[in-house]
Amino acid sequence: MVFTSSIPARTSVARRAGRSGTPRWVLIGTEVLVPIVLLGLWWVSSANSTNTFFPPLQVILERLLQLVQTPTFLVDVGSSLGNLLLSFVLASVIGVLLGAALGLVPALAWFVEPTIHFFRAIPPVALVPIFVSLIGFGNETRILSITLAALFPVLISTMDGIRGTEPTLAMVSRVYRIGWFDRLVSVTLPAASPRILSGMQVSLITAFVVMIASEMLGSSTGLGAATLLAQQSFAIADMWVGILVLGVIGYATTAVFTLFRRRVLRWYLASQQQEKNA
Amino acid sequence: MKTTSRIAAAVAAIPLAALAFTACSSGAPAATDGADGGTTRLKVATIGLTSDGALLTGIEQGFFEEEGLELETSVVANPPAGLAAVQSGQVDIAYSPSIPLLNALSQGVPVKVIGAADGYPEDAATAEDPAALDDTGLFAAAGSGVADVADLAGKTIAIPARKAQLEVVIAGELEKAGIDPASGVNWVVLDFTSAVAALKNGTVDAAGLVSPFTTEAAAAGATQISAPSVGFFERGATGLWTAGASTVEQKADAIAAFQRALVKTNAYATEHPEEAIQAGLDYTGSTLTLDEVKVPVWPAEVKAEDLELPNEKMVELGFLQKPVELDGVIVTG
Repeated sequence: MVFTSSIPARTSVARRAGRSGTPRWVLIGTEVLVPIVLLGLWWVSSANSTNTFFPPLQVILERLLQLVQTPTFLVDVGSSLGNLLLSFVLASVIGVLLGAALGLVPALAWFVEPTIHFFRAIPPVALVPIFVSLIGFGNETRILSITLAALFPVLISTMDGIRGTEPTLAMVSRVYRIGWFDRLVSVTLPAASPRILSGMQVSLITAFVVMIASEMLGSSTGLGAATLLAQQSFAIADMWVGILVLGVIGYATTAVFTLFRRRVLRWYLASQQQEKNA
Repeated sequence: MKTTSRIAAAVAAIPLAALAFTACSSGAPAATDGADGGTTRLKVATIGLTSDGALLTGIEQGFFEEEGLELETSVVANPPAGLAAVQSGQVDIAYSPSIPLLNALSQGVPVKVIGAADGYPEDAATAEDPAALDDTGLFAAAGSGVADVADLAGKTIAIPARKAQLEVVIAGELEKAGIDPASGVNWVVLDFTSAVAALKNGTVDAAGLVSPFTTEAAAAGATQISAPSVGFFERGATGLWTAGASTVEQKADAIAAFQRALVKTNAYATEHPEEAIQAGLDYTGSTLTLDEVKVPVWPAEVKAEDLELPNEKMVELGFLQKPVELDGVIVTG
């Protein structure tokens, strides 16, 4: 039962119209050109730098090429990315399940919500040393820290999204005698999905920050740990390589997520567009 | 774009936070006014050690004032942050142990050594109980079955930072016991509080600690198996006062005045250790009492061998690819 299909999803029309009236190629061009221009500026302005802490971009890129060929660097990147993705998926699944339960059962929410807000208010980075003391410094501590930090935005946005659904939707699905499970999967969650996905976007950024923080303690694998070590041992080019790669990963994960969001919410974006055009 | 820049900013903040830290605490530009008998202000960054007490006692005794200096002290997070700050001229003088200093020099960071901050007595290596002189210690967890450095093969050792002072000195001890420090043990990075907790619950087999955490570890049942710093440095100055190469050039008179006052300061602290330690304890907000702290040694000067010995050893242990060029690094008054 796919109820959302009843909303005309004329995305091609929506897409052609563009979001702000600016032609699509201009937007893509800007997205591609601005980083290139910035990198160019960096290259030129740093070319003759003798400051140890701001080496020329050329030196940094050469170092990047060398490092990419070493297994340690690839293991670092792989371990960080793996932790990030696994924790993000875990946080999203747990967040949606818990959020749905709390959104649907007001009594439960009434009991649990103060506790949730208490833990949410603690900066997740501050919890890392406590977790290390409590459960050790293995990879599972890192995954736990990232998952916990990324959980709350999804959880709260799911709760909010479900509470904010149109009451008529619930009434109509009741009139049609749709079972609670179908109602949840096919009506309530899709209706809440715009907010859930916004929450997930916030989670992704939080996960990224805590991923780096979680690598400051324990075994020194991971891109964050490598960058920190490079900074502390004055391997400044290596530090800049780490920062560049972290930036690229941050950008790429956000871009992939935006595509995913656009795909999942195609019906929603289209209906919004239609409303605007009407 | 917004998220990337935010992430980039967060990441960039790691090294910059250290700089900002010193920047916050010193807003006013250094007022230089030596011509008509006024005072010259020097900004000094320490890392918050008990041995800082010597400098504070020296300020109180007026040794720096006599030389026309006014010192403004601040605490930075760690030695690399202090070295970065002197290099950029944000502070004039910073404390650094010799190992981070050698790391910095090997990467071409232009810093000079202008005086001794703390160290070990001349006869430390041959002393009956080196542990009594060493403010660092390598501790083994109670149930780890480690009784000796040689038992550490394949074990997990906690240190506060990689490639820094404690890893290097413990690596020296491992090498002596025939263990390859690079592949023979697992190094994990833990702050001192976590390291003591990990020793207690056995998640690490051993930990490299600094006073006062050494006292806590002993109280928690861990046994000291080595005094790694005395074993590594043997004697002489290990904590150094450093200044940026450009500061040494531009403020030559002020630096020379600092060096003269520092000699008096260290001599005074050596004669009145209790006064100096108490000042250090007050400054660092420590709750320890005088008899719980090991008496630091404040050497009168930095000798060439104080840098040459760790330089050679770091090459032997593989922390440096080639020895650091030390000509002209030590600036004498």
